[in-house]
Amino acid sequence: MTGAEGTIGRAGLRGPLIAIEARDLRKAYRSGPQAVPVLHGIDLAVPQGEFVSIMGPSGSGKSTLLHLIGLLDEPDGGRLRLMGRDVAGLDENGRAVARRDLLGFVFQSFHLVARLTAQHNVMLPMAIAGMPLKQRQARAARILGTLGLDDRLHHRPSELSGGQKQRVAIARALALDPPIVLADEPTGNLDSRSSRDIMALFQRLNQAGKTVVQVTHDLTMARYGNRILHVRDGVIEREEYRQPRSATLSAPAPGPRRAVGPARRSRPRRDAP
Amino acid sequence: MMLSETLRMAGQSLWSHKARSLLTILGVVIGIGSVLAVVTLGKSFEASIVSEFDALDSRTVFVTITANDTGFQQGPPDAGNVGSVFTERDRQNLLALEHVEEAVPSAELPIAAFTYQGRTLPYRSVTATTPEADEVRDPDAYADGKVFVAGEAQIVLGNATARLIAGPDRDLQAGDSLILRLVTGEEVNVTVAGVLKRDDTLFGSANSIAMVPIDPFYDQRVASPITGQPTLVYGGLTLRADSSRNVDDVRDAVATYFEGPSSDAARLVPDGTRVLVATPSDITAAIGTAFDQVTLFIAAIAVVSLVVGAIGIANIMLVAVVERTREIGVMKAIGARNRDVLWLFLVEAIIVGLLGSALGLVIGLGGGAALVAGLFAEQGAPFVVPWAWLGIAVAVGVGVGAVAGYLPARRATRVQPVQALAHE
Repeated sequence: MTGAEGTIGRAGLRGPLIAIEARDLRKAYRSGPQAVPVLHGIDLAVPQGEFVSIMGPSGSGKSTLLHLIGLLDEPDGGRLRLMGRDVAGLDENGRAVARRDLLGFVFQSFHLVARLTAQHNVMLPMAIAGMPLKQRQARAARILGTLGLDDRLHHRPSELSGGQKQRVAIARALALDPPIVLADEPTGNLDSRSSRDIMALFQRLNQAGKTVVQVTHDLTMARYGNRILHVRDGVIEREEYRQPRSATLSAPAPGPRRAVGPARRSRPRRDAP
Repeated sequence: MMLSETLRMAGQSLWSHKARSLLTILGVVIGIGSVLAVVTLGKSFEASIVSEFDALDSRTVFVTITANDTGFQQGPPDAGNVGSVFTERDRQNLLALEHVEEAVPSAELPIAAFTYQGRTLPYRSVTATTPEADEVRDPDAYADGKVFVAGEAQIVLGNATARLIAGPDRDLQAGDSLILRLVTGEEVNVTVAGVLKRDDTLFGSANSIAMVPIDPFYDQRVASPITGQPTLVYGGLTLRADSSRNVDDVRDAVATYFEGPSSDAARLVPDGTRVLVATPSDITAAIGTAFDQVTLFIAAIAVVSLVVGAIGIANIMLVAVVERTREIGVMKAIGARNRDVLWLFLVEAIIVGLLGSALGLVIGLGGGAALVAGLFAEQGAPFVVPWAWLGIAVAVGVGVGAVAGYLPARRATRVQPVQALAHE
């Protein structure tokens, strides 16, 4: 494992673990007989505890990069490690299990299951993981409560506002307490106020120790991260480290503040050694 | 994924498309229901026929002629119109076998007509037998009178035969006198010894009886191929074992006798026919086999509707997979493995099959009962629940769901998360 080069100090306190490590990650899409390259060899290291925003214009490959990191798509070449585990060679089942154990996803259009209540949407990953019903119910209710949705447990997505839907989606992403949360344009369908709330939420998660990676084309939102990657034409054009903007929270504490994220309370097993 | 959650999600998905789910289930209901209705009807009809034979004395062993190529498994034996081959000598030899209590001979006696009080009814034949014959020996079977006496010019008539001979608005009773005209033109006075009660069983075979004692009516003789002596010859024999425990032994011993060197019948049977020795349970078993074949054949036709039901499931599941492409993508993104997705859709299809077969079971049995009541009401045919088929129906319903749902479910597993999530 390589050292935590280019990290901010906070990550160092969490040990040398690099949450996301990509080497020469390449991807092309077939368009008829031609292969259209989208990513030309991405090198990336995201230490645990970072909040990374990936920016870039449409077609830059930023979403593809997130999909590859999220194991939703397979790279054509290169290496990928998540939480130190080599995930490039995994078969479909292996990727599914890695998604379940390591990753939480938040999407622009929420992607909640319309037929299920908020609580059952959050319970879904736990059901997939085989958690007993009582535990699923209690845990989903607790996570939703932490996100301010106590009174929305039994509402279906159609009965929720956009910001509420996205919070349910975040609760679902946190259902199995993954170390990494990936968000694809999480505020793309939200008004500015809800967007700020969601970003504040991501910062809170980040401070609780989650590694957060979001794709956005909105610089305002990108600035909530402590590191911004600018992707253009399939390569990382430049990156900037910054003191994250924070409207609602003070600057990140120098150490991991435990027990802020809802998931940590009952499942301490992933705590850093 | 846990089965409980899979069930819950599949159920919710079905519930959210109520009309569609109901119609798909209806397809299976019609399939299972029609198969079960046919099978129930067949089993009930079979049971009513078998009950006729079950009513026979279980000590009975039938000895008749059957055609070689109509194997016994194709139905009950038919002594038919093949000539008489069972000699009195054979009968005496059979009576000498161990456990044989009686050997009742019977033969068709062709006649020309009955005349009663000046009214003549052309008639083809009567049966010549002994007072021990099953059809006539039971005193309780008589509406009037009793069995004929051997050696007397008497006759026992079935209920319908008696009414035919009597003619409209007249009754025939024991003690009445008839004129029986033989095919030779000779006329014989006979006294009605008894008239049987109405036979309300399925075939009502006792209603058309006309039976006379062998002596004095029947005197057909052949030279025994074994001894050369003339001997009476009959169309069939009905043996009675001393106990129902020994009936199979008697049947085997009798069969062995007819294969042996001392049997007249073995030499008298025409080419292409053979002596058939059978017990009532042999016959009911044969009827069961024959009916099962017919029932299966008709059920196979009904299965076509089940196939249509299965196609309905497959069709609707394919639609569901397309509709829920995005949901599949989400499921995969949050860690569902291919087999989780497969089961989700498979369970949904199986639920449709299960509900369809459960409902089809009720409707099939109800329909079967209605058919039995409608078609065989007068015969009082019993309504038989084909228990084994109920299990088969449910298993088939589940199987149909699983088979029909498998390909769509497989298709669901092939959904690529990235494309699925972009799917609107």
